[in-house]
Amino acid sequence: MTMKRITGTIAITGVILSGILLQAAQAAEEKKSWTDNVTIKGDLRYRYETIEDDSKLNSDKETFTRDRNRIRARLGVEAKVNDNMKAGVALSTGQNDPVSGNQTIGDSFQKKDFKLDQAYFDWSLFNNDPTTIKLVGGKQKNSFMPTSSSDLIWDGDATPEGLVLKGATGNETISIGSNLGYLWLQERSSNSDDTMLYIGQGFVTFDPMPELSLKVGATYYGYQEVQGSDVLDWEGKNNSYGNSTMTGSKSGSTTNKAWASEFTPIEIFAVMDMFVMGLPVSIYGQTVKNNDASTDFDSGYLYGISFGKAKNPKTFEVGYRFAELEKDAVLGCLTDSDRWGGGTDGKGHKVYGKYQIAKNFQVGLTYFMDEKKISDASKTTDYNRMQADLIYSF
Amino acid sequence: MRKTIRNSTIVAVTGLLMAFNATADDKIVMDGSTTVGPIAKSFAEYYMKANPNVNITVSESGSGNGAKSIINGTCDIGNMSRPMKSSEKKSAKDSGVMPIEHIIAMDGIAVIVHPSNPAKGLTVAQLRDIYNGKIKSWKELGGPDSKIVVISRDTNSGTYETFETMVMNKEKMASGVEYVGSNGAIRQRVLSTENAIGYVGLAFLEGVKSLEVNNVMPSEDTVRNKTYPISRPLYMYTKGRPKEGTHLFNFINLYNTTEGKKIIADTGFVPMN
Repeated sequence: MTMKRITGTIAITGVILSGILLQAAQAAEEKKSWTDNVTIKGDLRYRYETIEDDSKLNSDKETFTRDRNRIRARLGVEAKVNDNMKAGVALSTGQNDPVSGNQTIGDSFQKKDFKLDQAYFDWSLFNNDPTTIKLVGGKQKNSFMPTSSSDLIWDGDATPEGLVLKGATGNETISIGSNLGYLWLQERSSNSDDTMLYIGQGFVTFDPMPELSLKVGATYYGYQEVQGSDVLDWEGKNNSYGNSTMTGSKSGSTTNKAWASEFTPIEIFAVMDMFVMGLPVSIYGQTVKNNDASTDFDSGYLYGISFGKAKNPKTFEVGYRFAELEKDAVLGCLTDSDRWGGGTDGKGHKVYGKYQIAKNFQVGLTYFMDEKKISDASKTTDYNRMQADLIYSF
Repeated sequence: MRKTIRNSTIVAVTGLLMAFNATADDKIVMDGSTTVGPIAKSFAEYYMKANPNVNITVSESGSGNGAKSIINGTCDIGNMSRPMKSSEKKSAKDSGVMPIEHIIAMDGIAVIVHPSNPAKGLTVAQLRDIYNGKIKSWKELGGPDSKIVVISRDTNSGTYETFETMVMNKEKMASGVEYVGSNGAIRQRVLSTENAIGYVGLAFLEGVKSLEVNNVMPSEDTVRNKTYPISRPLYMYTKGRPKEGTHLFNFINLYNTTEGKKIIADTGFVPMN
């Protein structure tokens, strides 16, 4: 019996048991209005964006510049099923892109897609503050990013699919946590060579005083059945998003590209949060190395600093980060879709500022100065991108 | 050129929108625990009398909302009858708020019944069994053959959470338990219901009968020396460390002054040593 099947059987048994426990708990619960147990939330982002991509030239052989306006709308409902379990469903604009909910406007006012972005249960197996153990299943928010700024490996819009077991415990000054992932990247009905992703993540947080917090940790990403499998490109254009490729399967007269590498990257991360003269300051870093890369382009790193937090009205945040991601360091189809246009094989700077004008209303400005195709100096080109955002949330 | 103008305009407008304001020092907003409420109101009255230019408002919406108000930045002081949970501290830091804890007094949670009730005392185990529904009648405790009317604070209250932690020992309250929104409301409900039992902070004992718990009566001494089994600290949380010399700094340190200790004792709580 394969590990995947054993893990799957355990997971399904868990879900069935949870259903039985759920019914028992429901019977004992006092009747309440269903609205007491339901939370609706969402956001709308209106973005102006301009991209200067030196790898593309216009008809006058000048750098191609694209201006566009985009929207991203998300709407989610989360229901408290009982004291220990929540279930949620969320929709998002965008097409089938796993790492972006953006929808460019201006196509003769056509109606836009609104797709399933999340569908999950969140089962609290143990909760005695500060010790918690949770099982989250379905299409869900990403639990593996150390902070929302630590986006070397994942785009913040990616919603992984499968089961994630999350645990945390500690005291006032030190706490530990771990996240274990059993994720299905690509299920193939024609054979059993499903592309799976097993993740093990552990971290320790030190809080020696209210002004200082330090989090350090490591993550192991174990992909299965990647090398030799056709690349996963939501647009169906055989794009490997920067990763090295080899010849894949044939679809009619088309020969598909397949990944040339296996991917078992190990990530190490650290985040230091401070309050300096009352101002929140965060310094963070990440490094990743793929030990099964088929090329020497197997590493990546990111570091950054931010000042302030744009969360409460009249608060601001400004920040800077630098990232470099070699060709086969991580799977390119899941990385940040804005930085050097997405994927791997790039490096560059990001500066940003956000201001929370009022409750649930924020403006932001971001500028990327990147280089893409850094694995081949003769093909390296500049890629600059500016984004101005208006964000409304509820 | 057109694009440059358009981009510059967007940057300029965004930059203008990023201007921010400072907070005024002559206004202090407090929100949170109904238990801490009487101390907060008495402190506010005293401080505003001494500093007529300062305006202090006190809302009593429960400890959970005190924490939320600190996290959301809508108050200067969050009053709480329980410590902030680790999840609340994390939310605060994620919002750029550094919550600073100030223990201002001690409180005992008194178990109260109607003055006509002959009961003298209960053990913590008996109390738990009343609230989880195993004991339903006063007869099971040596009293009259009448059903116990069980009153609790609402689940957003710090008093509830303290009672749940110190008495319920992870057992659930029975479905028939009646939840009310303040210490005062519990007191009123017990005063008007002969067979009722409830629990309140030490400052809410007027007119009702307080029971011994594990043979110890709640009092200033038994709370301070921790022999009374259901006692707890009371908290005020600020967003960061108040700057010395500000009204917020002077106000939050009132509990440590002779006058502050007198106010705490006068409102029925136990001042810190």
